[in-house]
Amino acid sequence: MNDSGQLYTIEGVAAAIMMVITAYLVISSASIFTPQEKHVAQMQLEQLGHDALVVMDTPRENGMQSYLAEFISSYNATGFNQTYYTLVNQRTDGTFDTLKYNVTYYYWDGNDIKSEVLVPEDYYRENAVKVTQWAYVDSLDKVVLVEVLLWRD
Amino acid sequence: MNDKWRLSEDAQLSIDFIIGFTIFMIAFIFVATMMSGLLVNLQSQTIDYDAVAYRTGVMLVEDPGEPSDWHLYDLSIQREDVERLGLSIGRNSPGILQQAKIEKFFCSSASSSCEGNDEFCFPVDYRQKLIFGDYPYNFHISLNEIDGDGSWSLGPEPPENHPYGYIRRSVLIKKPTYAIVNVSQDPTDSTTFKVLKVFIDMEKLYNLTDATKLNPAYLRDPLHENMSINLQNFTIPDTDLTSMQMFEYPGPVLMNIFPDFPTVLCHRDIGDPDWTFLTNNTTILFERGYFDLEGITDMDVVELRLTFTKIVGDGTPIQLEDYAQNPPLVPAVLEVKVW
Repeated sequence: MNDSGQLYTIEGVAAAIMMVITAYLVISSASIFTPQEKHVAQMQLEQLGHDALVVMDTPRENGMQSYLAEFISSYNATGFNQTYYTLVNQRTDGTFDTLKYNVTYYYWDGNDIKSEVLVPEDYYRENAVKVTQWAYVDSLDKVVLVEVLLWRD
Repeated sequence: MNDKWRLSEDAQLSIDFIIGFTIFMIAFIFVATMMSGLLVNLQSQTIDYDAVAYRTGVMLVEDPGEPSDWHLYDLSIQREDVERLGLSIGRNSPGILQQAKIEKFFCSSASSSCEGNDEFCFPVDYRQKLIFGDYPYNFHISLNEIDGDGSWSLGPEPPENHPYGYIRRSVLIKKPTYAIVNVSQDPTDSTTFKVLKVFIDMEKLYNLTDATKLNPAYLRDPLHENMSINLQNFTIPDTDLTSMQMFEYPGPVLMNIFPDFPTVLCHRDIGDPDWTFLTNNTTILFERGYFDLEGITDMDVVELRLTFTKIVGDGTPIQLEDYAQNPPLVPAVLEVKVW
């Protein structure tokens, strides 16, 4: 029997063990955070943010102005902020979530698209979603696009 | 021995190969065993639960249910006819929930006798008509008015530190119609109009005569929701109500007032049915489904005839459409947790 050209067995065993350990480490750590989960979290934010805009855009009584139109026509940022904050953050047990957002609206002034920041809030590249709602502001006779950037703090 | 018959070692496996192959097989078995674990994590239960919670939330908020007037059904006899639960007022009005449906939805019991009562069986009925799927999901559904009194919940909270699927929705709640009617009691009046006639013209209540179609969110809807009439301004003491009758036109044909739900009730104060000693809080309540059970449609006219012991008004009948109004929509939060 000729032994020349064979691998050293100990080296082979060591390499194999290292491979197994590496594979184990990779598999056990990779499955904690998957892209699908991230997607679900964003979908929840998007749904809630849009719901809140729709609720604000629905007049509470027939013939009345909606809160959204009212706050925009009077540039009532405080009013908008209070209403929107409660709608996206309040839970059914009365506690509050930690969602943050900034709000801008856009409109056509005859010559150009203008934008106004309604609620400023510093955004530091968190996982955010953007929700929009077209709204007709009666008193200004304008259609505005309200854009909310929403993220979890 | 002849060289020709000597056994050759050329075709034998080398020891290295055997060792290497063994280690490879061990590693392969290791990985294969862990692979199933890896897939379970990929298809993690949290994701599944989140999807179920999302679906349940959408059905509750955006769907009126099947049939859409399921909340008028008597569950003790029509349980199987309710195919799907949903709280929305209509398919074209997502996000606006009907108080009447909310009240019926959250009326449940876990007892074994629930089948014979007009209530949902927890959790079987909800799993069949709302959550769906073969897996017996646990769930907690809660609804809370923002700045309001209304608060409803169903099912236990998930166990602590137990992962669950979650969705939260912002909604508006449409409250039942009410009318405030002031009676005028002039003790010096020589006439004796002790009867108050209230005409309920469904066609006018539903704005069917108007060319512009009213958004269902603002519709006065006594056929599917409770409706109440608040009688106020009683100035002569000891004014009692002696009889309450309902008539259907043309005719007039006397209608039934049933002994129990759904019926027409006279409340002196909230939750206190009483016929006598009227106060300024006296309310006549048409319970949801009463008109439906009597076969009244949105084209009919009915009359509520109230007879008192003292003079009320000058005999002019009251047209309810001039008085009936809807309270403003109330914002609320709906949460669904599934595990």
